[in-house]
Parts: sequence; structure tokens; C-alpha cells
Amino acid sequence: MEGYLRKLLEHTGLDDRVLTMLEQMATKSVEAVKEFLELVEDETTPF
Amino acid sequence: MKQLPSNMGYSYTLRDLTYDRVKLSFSERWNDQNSRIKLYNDKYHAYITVFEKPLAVKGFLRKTLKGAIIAVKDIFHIEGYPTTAGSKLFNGKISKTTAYAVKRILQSGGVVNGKTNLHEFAFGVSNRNPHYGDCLNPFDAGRVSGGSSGGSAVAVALGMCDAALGTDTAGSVRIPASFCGLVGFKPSQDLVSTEGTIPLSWSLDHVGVICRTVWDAAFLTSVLSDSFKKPLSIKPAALEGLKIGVPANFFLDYLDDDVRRNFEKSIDKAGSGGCDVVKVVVEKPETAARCRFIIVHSEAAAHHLKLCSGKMDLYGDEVRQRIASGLAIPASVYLNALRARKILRDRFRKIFKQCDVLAVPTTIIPAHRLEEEHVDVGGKLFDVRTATLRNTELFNVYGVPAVSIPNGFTKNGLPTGLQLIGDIFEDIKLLRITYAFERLLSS
Repeated sequence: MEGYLRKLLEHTGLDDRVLTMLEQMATKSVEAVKEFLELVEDETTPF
Repeated sequence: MKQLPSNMGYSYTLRDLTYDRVKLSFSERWNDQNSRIKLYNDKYHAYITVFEKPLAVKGFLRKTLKGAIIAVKDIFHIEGYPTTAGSKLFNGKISKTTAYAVKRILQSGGVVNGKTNLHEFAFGVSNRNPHYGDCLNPFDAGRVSGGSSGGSAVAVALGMCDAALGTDTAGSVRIPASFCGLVGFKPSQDLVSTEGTIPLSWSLDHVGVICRTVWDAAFLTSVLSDSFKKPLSIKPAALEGLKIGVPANFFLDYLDDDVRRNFEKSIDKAGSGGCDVVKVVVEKPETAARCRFIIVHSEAAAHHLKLCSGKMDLYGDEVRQRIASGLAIPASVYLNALRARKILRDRFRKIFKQCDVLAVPTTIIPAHRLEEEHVDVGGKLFDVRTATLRNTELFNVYGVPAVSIPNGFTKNGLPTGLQLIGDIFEDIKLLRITYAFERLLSS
């Protein structure tokens, strides 16, 4: 993941200071997707 | 209802124009509003571009809008004029096309007098703008106007125009309308085309209007949408027997004391007016808020991926960070947010089996001070952005129509808003009920 984020920084011209912020967003995303999947599974896998 | 100081107040509406109740000629109105722009714009930063001459089609005074002067958020393209989106990124560029909504205004006899300030790329709700100046609140210049369509709200509040166009991705029409004592209407998603606007999040962007009255908001919206065969002149709904849903969870958990008092007064009045007030539960609101967050950040980052390359230094600090952070959201998370959105919307709509409209305070706080970053609301510390968005963002996820009307003032003289929400494509029903509320609350 860090390699991917560093490539993003290169592309956008942002410096290393935002790396921590990108990592925080990645963590937030993982937390959010758990909730989304709970909902999606309710609807699509009714076992 | 409290008014702005007499030198700032403004009295007529689109309805007055429609029914020929305005004694001033078009030129007199244009000059009057232009003089207000000259008087207030340097301080309040409502407009980014002021048009020297009226932009209108031939014979506009004989058409539906009868020369109503409309301000347009500077995120709508207008051919031959600059469109900044509140950013320095497009400096010196001139639009080659005109947004669908603006075309509809012009074809209907509206006149555009300029393009209004916004939160940079509409990606924020305070309307503090590092490039074109902070949009200041007409009721207290030490506070924010709210945004992202803040310039549109300030322009209407200070009589610089008759009504204004905005966009709303998480509350950007309703929030500044609430903070500035106006009516802000976000129609059902896709009722008004977003074609020709610079996107923030194509899944959640809505075009909306900021006006002085609910009648005006309905009338102007009907002009913007091809779903209406003729302009709407709405009548208030009968309140007797209407079911008003009040949420038992989330929306009222944390409220500023004055916001709570004004909301409870509004609901009490609705009860006295013959409405049945019913408690309803909105399912998984926190998940819907996260859904909005992921979708907006992912889509904004995707849109800006090419724009920002090598130009990141042209963005303001706050928006640059927001856009950059969106790049770190994996595609699988974004796609599951879209799937969750559909489920959440379907579940939310079941509420309308229990009530005709849902009622919540538009924002949990009144306009905050410019420098304020956090606010204590009911014993919980919120960052001002989260507090401002909390009661509006979900209705973009659901795609339902939502309207904010003034419902009183705080002890410090700041306006508060009541937000009513209807089912998808029941915009007219919602507006008729809101019109009845507007009358009830001003009586």
C-alpha cells in the first residue's frame, strides 16, 4: 500500500507530509466497507 | 420574523414579478441591484464575476420569468464568461458552453447578473475561500455564510439579485439558505440536469435554488426542469391530517439549544395546525453518512486526477488535502459504497409509508464564527464541517427532495432552518406542504 501511495504522491506533486493522511483515509475506508458489506450481504446472500 | 437591517433588506419576490406587483422598471431593478453589489460585494464576497450588462435573450420581459435577475453559482458554465469553480486552476479560461439550467433560465426570460462565490470546487460547507475571499454572513459578518453555494445565498439575502442557482452534493444549497435566513430547495436527483456544471461528485450532485419564498423556489425549479409542462404556481397544502415524521434517532441527538427550541416550536405549531406528528426511525444513518463520504471523496479525487497533476500548489490547503485523501480509497470500497447507497435509499423510502414528509432541523448549529474549528453541541465536540453537514448529507445519498425554510432566530439574532424531506419525485407535494409550513410559521 505504501508503494502505491508514494506513486500517487509523485503523480500529484504532493509531498510526504500527506502520506499519513492518505494512510488514515485507507484505514477509514476499510472500516467503512465492513458496514457496506453487512448491508450488501443482507440483500444479496440471504442464507 | 426578524429582518436584516433596513438598509440591507429587500422586499419583492419572483411571485411579485410574475403577478406584475413590482412598480420598478427592469432598468430600475437592475440599477438598484447593481448598486447593492457595489455597496456590499467588497465586504461580503458574494460574486466572483459581476456582469456589466444583463445577460438575457431578446424579448425576455415578455417571457415566464419577466426579467427576474438570477445569480448563478460559479460552477455553472456560461458561454463567453469565465468559470472558476472558486479555484485559481482555471484562471484566464473562458467557458465554451452554457449549462442546461442556465439555458433554461435565459430561454424563460430570466436575466443573469453574475457568477457567485463558492467553497473551492464546492468541496466544503463554510464557503471560506482562500482565492476569492470568505463569503460572510449577512446577519453577522464575523460568521460564515455556509456553503458551498454561499455566494448565491448572500446575493439573495442582500438584494443583489431576485433568486440564485446553486448546487448541492451534501447540503450546499440548504445550508447557506438556512444560515442566511432563506429558502433553499434541492429537488429529487435528476429532476434538474447537472449538464454543464463542474462536478464535485457526479453520483450525488444536485442542482438547486435559493429564493426568498417557497413559492419562488417551486416556480424557479419548474422553469429549470423539463419534467414540468408549464411553470408551477403552487398552492399551500391543507395541513389537517398530514402526517409529519419526526426522527426518533440521530437527527435530534445533538442540537444547539436555540436550534432545538425553534424546531420544537415549529413542530408544536404543525400539531396545532392539524398535523399528526409521528415518530419514525431512520435506518443506519451513520452508515449512510460514511457512504456519502466515500462516494464524494472518491469521485472528487477521480475528477481531479488529471486536473491536479503538477498543479496541486494552485489548490487551497483544505481542498488539496481532501482531494488527495480521496486517492487513497480503494475501488472495492467505492463500489460497495454505491451498492450500499441503493439499499439505504430503498430502506429510507419506506418511511413515507408512515408519514407524508420528514422534518428535521436543517443544521444542528447556526452559522459558526469564521475562525471556529470545533463546536460543542449538546456535550459532544464536533468539527464544524461535520456539525454543519450532519442533517443534510443523508438526503443526497437517498436522492430525495429536501427544502430548508427559516424557522426563527437564535438569541444572538442568527437564522435557523427547518428542513422538510419528501419521497423521490414527490417534489410538488413536498413544496406544497412546505408552503403551508411557511405560512404557519410566519403567522
